[in-house]
Amino acid sequence: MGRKIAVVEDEPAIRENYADVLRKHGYEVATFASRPAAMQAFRTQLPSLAIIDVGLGDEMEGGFTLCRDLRALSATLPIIFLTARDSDFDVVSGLRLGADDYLTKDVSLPHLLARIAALFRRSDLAAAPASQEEMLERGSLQLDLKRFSVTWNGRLVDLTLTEFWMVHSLARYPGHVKDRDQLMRDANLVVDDSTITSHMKRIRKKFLAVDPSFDAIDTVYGMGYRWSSSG
Amino acid sequence: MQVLLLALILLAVPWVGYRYVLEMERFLREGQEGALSATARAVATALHDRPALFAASGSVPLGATESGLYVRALSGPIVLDGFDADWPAPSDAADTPTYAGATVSLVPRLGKRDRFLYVLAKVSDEHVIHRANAKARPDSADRIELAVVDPHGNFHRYVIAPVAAGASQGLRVTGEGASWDDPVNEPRVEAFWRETRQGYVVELRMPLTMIGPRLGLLAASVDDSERRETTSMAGPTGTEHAGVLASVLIPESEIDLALQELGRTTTRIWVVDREHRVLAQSGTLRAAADAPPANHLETSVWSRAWTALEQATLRRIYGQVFRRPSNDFDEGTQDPSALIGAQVDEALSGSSTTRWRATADQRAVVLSAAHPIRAANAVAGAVVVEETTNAILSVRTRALETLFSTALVVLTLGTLTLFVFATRLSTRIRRLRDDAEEAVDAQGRVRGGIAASRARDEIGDLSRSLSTMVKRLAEYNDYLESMSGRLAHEIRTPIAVVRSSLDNLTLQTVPDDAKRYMDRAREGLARLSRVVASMTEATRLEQTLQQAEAEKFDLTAVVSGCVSGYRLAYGHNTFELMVPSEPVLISGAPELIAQMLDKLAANAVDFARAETSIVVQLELARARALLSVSNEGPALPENMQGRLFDSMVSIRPATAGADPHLGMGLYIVRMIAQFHGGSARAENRAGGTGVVMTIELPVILAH
Repeated sequence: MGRKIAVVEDEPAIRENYADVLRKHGYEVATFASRPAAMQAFRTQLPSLAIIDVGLGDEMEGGFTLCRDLRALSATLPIIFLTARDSDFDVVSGLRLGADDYLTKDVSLPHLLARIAALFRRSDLAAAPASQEEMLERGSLQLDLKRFSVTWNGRLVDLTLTEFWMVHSLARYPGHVKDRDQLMRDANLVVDDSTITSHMKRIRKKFLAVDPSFDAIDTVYGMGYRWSSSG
Repeated sequence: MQVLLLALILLAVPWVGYRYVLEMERFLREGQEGALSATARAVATALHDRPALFAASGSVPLGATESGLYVRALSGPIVLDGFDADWPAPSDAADTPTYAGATVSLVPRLGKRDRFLYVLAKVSDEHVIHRANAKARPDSADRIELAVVDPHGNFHRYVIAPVAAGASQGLRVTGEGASWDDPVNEPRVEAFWRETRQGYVVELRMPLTMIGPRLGLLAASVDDSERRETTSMAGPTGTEHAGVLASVLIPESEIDLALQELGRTTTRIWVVDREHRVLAQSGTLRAAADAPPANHLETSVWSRAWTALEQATLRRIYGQVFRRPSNDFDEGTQDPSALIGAQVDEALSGSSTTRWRATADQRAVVLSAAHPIRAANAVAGAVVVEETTNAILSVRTRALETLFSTALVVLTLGTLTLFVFATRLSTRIRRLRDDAEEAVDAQGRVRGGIAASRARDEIGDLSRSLSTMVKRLAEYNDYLESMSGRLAHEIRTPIAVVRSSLDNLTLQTVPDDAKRYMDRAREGLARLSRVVASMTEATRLEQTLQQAEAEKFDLTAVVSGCVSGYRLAYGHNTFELMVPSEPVLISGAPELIAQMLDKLAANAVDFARAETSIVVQLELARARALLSVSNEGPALPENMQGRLFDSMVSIRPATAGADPHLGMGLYIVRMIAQFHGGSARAENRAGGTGVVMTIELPVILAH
């Protein structure tokens, strides 16, 4: 399909494995082992999508810096963060670097591919005029399933791709309880329970930032989560 | 207690001081003896080779019957009033002999003062008859006759025979122009006649210049006023002529003068002649009553305050213990006419001696030193110097008192200081011990640190060492506890490598055999992933706890919801739920409580016997919520009950093929419980039928 994906990862085995699987699926892949090398190439030519490892070589937060610099070059370029520690998620989202998704390194390749496909779909639709719209509305919530954007009371809520899939999983059947396994499947993730919990926490926080009285996501202890339609 | 023993050692000091004071007293006594002997010798030397002194003062030997008249010196003024109150009390019977005649008796006393001879004559006479008139003969009435040999050797005879009681003058009946029929008034002889019940008392005086070596005295009585004949006489001597007169012994004023210059207060000096008769005496043993007290120069407030305090308290105690020199003692014979004693005999035989004796009432000790007086190469008399030991005694007592006061103060201060110091030391050590016990809890986890003291002594060193040690232990503990997190982090990357490689392999065409191996590899990888996930669970939880925000929620709702979930999830066991009917509000993170309960439930299910029920109970006790999960099954080993909640501790047997159990579950339970301000404990059920895990949480009391 002629899309160029940049993989910035200092661990050679992982880098090459990602590159191989992406090429097999028809993407063009450019690999970089360090931030300076990647930045140099980006200045010449931007990729269509970038996968960035947070800890790059000697620089502990080289990935953050690279993301910021890349964002400066393009506001719409999809960026996926890879990190070894899921504790970085809060840090990363706090930094508001504008990445589209955060993943741990042990994500399975199929899941990674699903994300990449979705992100490409979104960027294609962003370029095209908004002719067909597939919206899901639940009260104050509006989900744009093509563009993967969320508005609450008309205000944009900045969710990552994974978070969007989770909200969609809940809001599709309001009042129904989704357990963690279901949420994981819908979000194309395999993680443990506490990671789900922290994802849900982050989602709540982002909604609360937009609307302090947000309480549409109910925790049903022992079962899972549900979207309460009264919200 | 050891402090007290130490303090007792300090008692050696005052004891040594006491011995020292006694030694000093001995030295002082010897010194006093020496000084007294020296004084005696000095006085004797001053009186040496003056035979005139001794000759003039009646060295005429007394007769076989003692007929020398001793004229003692009178200390106070004598008023001629017929009363003897102004005369000194007679100290022995020899001083006031009674001379008895047929119808009259006489008790004469003689004394001298201010160049006068005083005579006090007490006469017992049943019929006192005075002269009829001034013209009557003196020997026609009761009378006192006085005869002298004057310094020129002339014999004179005087009579006191007044017409009536009262003042009168003597009548000279001898010498030029005087006779019994025609007596001559002698105004120099003044007398006072006082009637008494027994008879009469005559007090008379005459200048000493009228008296020479001989003196005679008698009382004559006339009992019939008609016939007026002398019926009887009484007296020490006759008065007819010089031959019947007695020698008179007047203490020589020259010697007195010499003694006055040599004597001191509190020293009594006697000079006796060969016959033991006292020639002169000066001084008293008692200190003058108005001697000024010492230490009048102390003007500082502290000394005065201290002295006042001492007077009030210590003196009373000391008075019981130490003998105080008393100024109130019986001096013995104040004016004996003869001095007897072993030291006097020895002195009169030519050697000088000293002797200690107690006063008659045992209240004082008197030291006397005697020294012979030589004149013309023979012993003419002796000097006896007497002094009490009161001066030394008061010095000794004062020294002892001061010593004991000082020792008491020093001992008290010393003991107090020692005590304070020891208490401070033991308090510091006790505090260090308490800190050390607090720093490490029962399971060996380092709870806190030990504050390092800045003191520069050994206890400060100990405290600093302990503090460093605890810090190092804490660091090592942290290192150990975080090791799993770090390991997990390191393992993630190789896991990612293997997974991505396997994923790539799946996309290629592989033979069926290879597929089988790939599946097994994938399974192994999944297990490895789960291991890493549980290894890092604790670390992730720590980070979550750091960022968690507390909210108020109903514990009952959370527990009930979780139990419903467990009923669905675990099919082989039934869950019983007991919760209170009202909401139980606590502050914390509800999802963490759920996570904790999940772990407890999973644990209970793993250990419960199949088809038994697991009881989840929430109850409110005072201000605490007690959440317990109890299962039937094997009991816990005794020694493990406290350690179950440590990280990496597991008592499960390892079962092949299943996930390895890292023992993090209960560790996480405790972390979450502690985050909420509570605690977790594991106990065996009564009877050993199973295990109860109990979480205790503080409750927000709803008002």
